[in-house]
Amino acid sequence: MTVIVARTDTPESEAALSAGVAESRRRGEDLVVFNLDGVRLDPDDTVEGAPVSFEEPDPRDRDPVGSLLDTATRREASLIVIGLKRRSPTGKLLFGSMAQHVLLEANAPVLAVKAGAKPE
Amino acid sequence: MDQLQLLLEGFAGALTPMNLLWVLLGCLIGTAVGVLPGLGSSMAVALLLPMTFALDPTAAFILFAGVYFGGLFGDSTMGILMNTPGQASAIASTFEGHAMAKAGRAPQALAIAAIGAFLGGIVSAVAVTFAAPALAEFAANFGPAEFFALALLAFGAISSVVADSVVKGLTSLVLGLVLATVGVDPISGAERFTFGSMYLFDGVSLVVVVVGMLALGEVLKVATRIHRDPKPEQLGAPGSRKFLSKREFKDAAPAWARGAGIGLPFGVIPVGGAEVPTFLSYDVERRLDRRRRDPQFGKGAPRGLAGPEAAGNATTGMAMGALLALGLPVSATAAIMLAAFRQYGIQPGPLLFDTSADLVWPLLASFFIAMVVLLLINLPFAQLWAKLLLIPPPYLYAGIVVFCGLGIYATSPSMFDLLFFLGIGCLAFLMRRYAVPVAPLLIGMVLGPLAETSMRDALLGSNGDYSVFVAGPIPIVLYVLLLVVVAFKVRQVVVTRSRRDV
Amino acid sequence: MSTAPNAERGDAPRQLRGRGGLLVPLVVAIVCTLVVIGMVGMEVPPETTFPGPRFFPTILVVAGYALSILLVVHYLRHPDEEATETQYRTYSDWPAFAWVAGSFLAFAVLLDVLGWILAAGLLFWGVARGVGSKRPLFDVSVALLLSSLIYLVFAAGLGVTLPSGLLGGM
Repeated sequence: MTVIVARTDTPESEAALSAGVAESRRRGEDLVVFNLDGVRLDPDDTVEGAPVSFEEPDPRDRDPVGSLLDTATRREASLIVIGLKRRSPTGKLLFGSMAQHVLLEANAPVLAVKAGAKPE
Repeated sequence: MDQLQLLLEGFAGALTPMNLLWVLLGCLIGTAVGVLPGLGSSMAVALLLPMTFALDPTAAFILFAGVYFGGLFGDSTMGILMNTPGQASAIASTFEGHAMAKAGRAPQALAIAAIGAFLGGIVSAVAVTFAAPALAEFAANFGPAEFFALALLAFGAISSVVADSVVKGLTSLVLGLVLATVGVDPISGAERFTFGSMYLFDGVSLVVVVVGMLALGEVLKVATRIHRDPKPEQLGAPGSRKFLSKREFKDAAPAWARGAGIGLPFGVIPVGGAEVPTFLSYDVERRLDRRRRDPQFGKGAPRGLAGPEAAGNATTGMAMGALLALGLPVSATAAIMLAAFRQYGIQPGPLLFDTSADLVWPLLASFFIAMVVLLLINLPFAQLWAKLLLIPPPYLYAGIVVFCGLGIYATSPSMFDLLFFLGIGCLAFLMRRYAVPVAPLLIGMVLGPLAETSMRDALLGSNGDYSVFVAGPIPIVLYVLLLVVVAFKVRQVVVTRSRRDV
Repeated sequence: MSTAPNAERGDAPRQLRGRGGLLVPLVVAIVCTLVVIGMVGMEVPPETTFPGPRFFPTILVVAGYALSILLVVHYLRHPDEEATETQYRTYSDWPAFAWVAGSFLAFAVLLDVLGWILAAGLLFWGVARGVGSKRPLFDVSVALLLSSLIYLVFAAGLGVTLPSGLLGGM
């Protein structure tokens, strides 16, 4: 079982990363960082002192969120951690929302974190 | 059932020993080229285009039908085994197909792909048989305004959908349209852009452009990267089980059906072929999979392979229907087929079913035959095809270039055309290098004359009144369709930017 | 395709790197200019009514110039990321390109003189060399074998006219 974090270069996702590290320590599970943009952002093999493995979506895939969910299935994720931006309901209605996509379609529990939130 | 009668007569025409040989040969060549890494089915058709001019039209088109579909079977074989799809339309089936192969289920994946391609192809062949004559009849009352709208729809759709940037798509389209204007203007008789060269009097040869764009440009691109890109790894361990179990078959069956259903309509929408419907089908299967108790996507889901495969072939088959009935090529491969028809002095379009019935029905019959042949040579032997990889790449690419030279020289034996061909190849290389799609150029070149003459005919008929373009209901419907496509593209661009909230 | 957020801020020596894409608008502009030259010199039959043979090309030229400006903007704003790879000096392997294109050029020019078998053999050998074959002598035999085979099948068998050239006189 693993904890998987959706990683981008936003402050929200930094918060998600911290939450993911804390959560994986608490559960004693491996941490997987999924780089949604296909670019690896963390140079080392550790994030905040915790060992992690990295995954990227296939660059030919048009739907990185789908790729995230597939990876979650493959790595048998017990938790998916995402950062969450505040958005207007109209915006979400018109253009859709990646976060909503994850929340609705994931088979594992999803932890959504706001920017600036500190675990503990 | 008129069509059934005609189709049966077509079978009688196609089932001669000689024609069967051409189908078989076409299927073998198509599969072989599709299987070879980096070579897609459109290149197979392009390379073969000049070769077939020594044959009579019926034999040539039967051969083409085999290559046309064979390439698709081959494209996905390599996608599954080596994660190198031969063509954009095979990408969607690569994801889960390759995952299955990695999990030691390569034979099952190949079987699912072959059966999916077979079913998609058969469904589309049936649809073409019954829908194409009706479509042709409907299009028979198209006037210049309608044809202009149709060409505009094709231009707009292909240049906005194929490329990641509309500007690049339109650039490619404009280059194609410019190439199409060279030569004697059919309406006024004025000589255009020949710069006094007698070689350009009849216009730029479509064969030269097609083969240069798709074959030479590709080889140049490969040559500049072959030592630098990481080599695709071949999967060593073949699966232990050889055949598909009944459960797997049942599992994939609904996906095949859905895929074929998604693929069919895209055959008449000019969005550059099977890429869009295959991804659509992949997405549908992926979303449905997540609702199941035991989601398979990511681990090698048979459905994720079955759907796109069936969709791809359904689109490709149906595209032949659009080509035959409307004269409208929806993809680069279809544009090459149109070039082949023209070379024989045959103009696909509404009148084809009346004027060349003796050619059309054997061609349609040979679709069915090609599908069966392809299933027979792909289902049990797909793994054997992978042995073609033993050809050293330098010989492979050298052979392709020699065949290009042969084809160009055979159709127009002059140094001018060979040099022009080299120029087109360099242009194609430049376009590929900087991610400018080549399909709009080919479509523009093929449909350019139709667009220009129908536009000018319409204006001549109306004494220069532009309202003639929106006078009838059909053009208006076509323009609305064009707007829908453009709106879809705009939404897509906005959505990918604003959807990100993670 | 995702663009790295910092890609636009290339430091000074890298300013020109990744700008090769500007060749595309250059080609488009050249083509448009040729069309303009062709339109100026075009002899239009006097009885031609609107829309004449210049009508459609005019639209294309306007569109072509507009697109090349947009392309310049595009390639300036999004330099080629692939060109920034450090392992090689250039992204493309230009010697390989030269071998392939050069062989074809030689083939086109020499075909009538050398004849099919020699010219096509030369083409095969040059391309194989460019794509990375390491056995030039062995390649010669493969090349001549293939070109002779093609000559047999297509010229003798299918009746395609291929020049016999030098070997024809023997």
